Amino acid sequence: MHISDGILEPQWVLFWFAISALFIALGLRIINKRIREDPSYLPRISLIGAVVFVISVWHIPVPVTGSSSHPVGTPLAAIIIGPFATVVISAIALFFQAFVAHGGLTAMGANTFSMGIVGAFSGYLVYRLLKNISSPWFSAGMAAFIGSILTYLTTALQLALSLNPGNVMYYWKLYSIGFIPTQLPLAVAEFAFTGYAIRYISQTNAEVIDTGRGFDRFTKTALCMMFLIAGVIAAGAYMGYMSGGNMSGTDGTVEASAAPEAVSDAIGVRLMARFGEPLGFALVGITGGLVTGYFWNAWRKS
Amino acid sequence: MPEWLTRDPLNGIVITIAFFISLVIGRYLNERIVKNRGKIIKPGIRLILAFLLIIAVTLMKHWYFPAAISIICIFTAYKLKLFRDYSKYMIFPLVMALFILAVQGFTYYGFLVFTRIFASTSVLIILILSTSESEILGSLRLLRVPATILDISLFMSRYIKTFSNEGNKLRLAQRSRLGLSGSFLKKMQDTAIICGLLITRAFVRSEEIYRAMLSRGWKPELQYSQDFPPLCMTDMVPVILVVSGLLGIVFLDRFI
Repeated sequence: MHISDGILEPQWVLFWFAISALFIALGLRIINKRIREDPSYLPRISLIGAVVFVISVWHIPVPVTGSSSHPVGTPLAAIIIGPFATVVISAIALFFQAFVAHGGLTAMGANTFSMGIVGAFSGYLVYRLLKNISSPWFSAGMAAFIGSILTYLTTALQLALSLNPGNVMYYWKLYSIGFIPTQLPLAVAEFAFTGYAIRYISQTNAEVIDTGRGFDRFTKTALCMMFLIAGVIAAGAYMGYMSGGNMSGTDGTVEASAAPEAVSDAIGVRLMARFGEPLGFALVGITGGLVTGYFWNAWRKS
Repeated sequence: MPEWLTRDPLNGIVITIAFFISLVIGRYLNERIVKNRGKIIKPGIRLILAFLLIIAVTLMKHWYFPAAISIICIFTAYKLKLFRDYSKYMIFPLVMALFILAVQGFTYYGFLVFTRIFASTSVLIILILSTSESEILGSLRLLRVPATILDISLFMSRYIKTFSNEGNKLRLAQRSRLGLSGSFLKKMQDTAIICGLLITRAFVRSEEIYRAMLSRGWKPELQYSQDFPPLCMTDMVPVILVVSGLLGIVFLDRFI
């Protein structure tokens, strides 16, 4: 279910646009590089993108509920054309879907993040992890299942962050529970659908599937660290929530340990109070990451 | 000399200036509407204005402003004879709006979000019903969207229709051979076979298209001709009017 216009508060519209723009820029860079090496990549990626768009608006039967719904499609696209290209394709697909009132213009950033980034990357990682230890159809099916579930959990989180900033965890749970009756059976349907589709393609024309040049060691390590640390924080927060913790966040600990002498009404604190803490933390993360990444090779050599 | 003429002139001057400037703008807008058959704002500007209007709606704190915008949109759709399509497109966002209203517990804030969704979706639907896909894609070039995104968008918009028809034909063929029936797994298998077939066909067709593109002198990052005229000063008039109107509404909503 895509988020419609009018739901997200303007600061969240900007936040999700900024995050998605970063991934789209990375995706475009990779696509342009591949087009320079092999110009036939442009029509290939576009046509496969068109097919994935067509498939993602097909209604597939959803067990238990007796109704039908459309699959996310991005894990399947990520397996075929790679996750970064999928982010670009899904952003374009969401733009087209806005023309049939699925999603919206201001919600494009948020929908690209949940469907294009979380759905594609989680699906692709699950596929790459499982394909060496299980059959391609099972790996693809699991990729679709996990990608679909995480997409809807992200959508629920986006709704909770924007609509109920005072009680995010409670409303995240509430929105997620609201989605379960349709989305869990849909994820099961997507498991079967994607698994069969990849098995058919492997049997008939295996070269279609992106074997992937793979990430270099640096990117792999960075992505693993990202998932590991985010996982530890999420698991810790969940355990704290279950045991009735106050959920005040990690920022108090960070402030006390890293900057005990910090001025409480400094410009950074006031800016965060004005624009919201997640935006401030994201800005710090982006700046820190960009500077470290930019000078990484120079530091290594020195 | 009449007595009223000798009093404080401020109100008189203000009303005179406001009236005559509005008169000139009104006549100018009417001429442009007639000349451009109702499309006085270029698609690119319309897209930006719709985006700004939706942002303005999400900034509102009182439910009656979004409700008023929704009523204006319904009236516009009725006037432009688009009401049937408008109501068809409204179903999905309304389901989402009702879901949020229920989760928020039918509070004032829930109702406010409901009216915001109604208003912003109405604006979006009026935009998409009054502007064609190709017009918006063409105008994206003016907004400096990267050439690769435009290339992919143009290919996708062209082939979405082709593959959609092809997929429907394949489904019909499969159904006539007793496919797409039986158990859930059988249905999934049949749908996935069509999907796999479409993907492999797209892969093969992309090679043919690439050869056709080369034979027509295509190169990566090819410069396009200006199919759509660039923006000019006269385009600024509706922009200034609409943006001032938006700022006025947001100001009213915030300080009422």
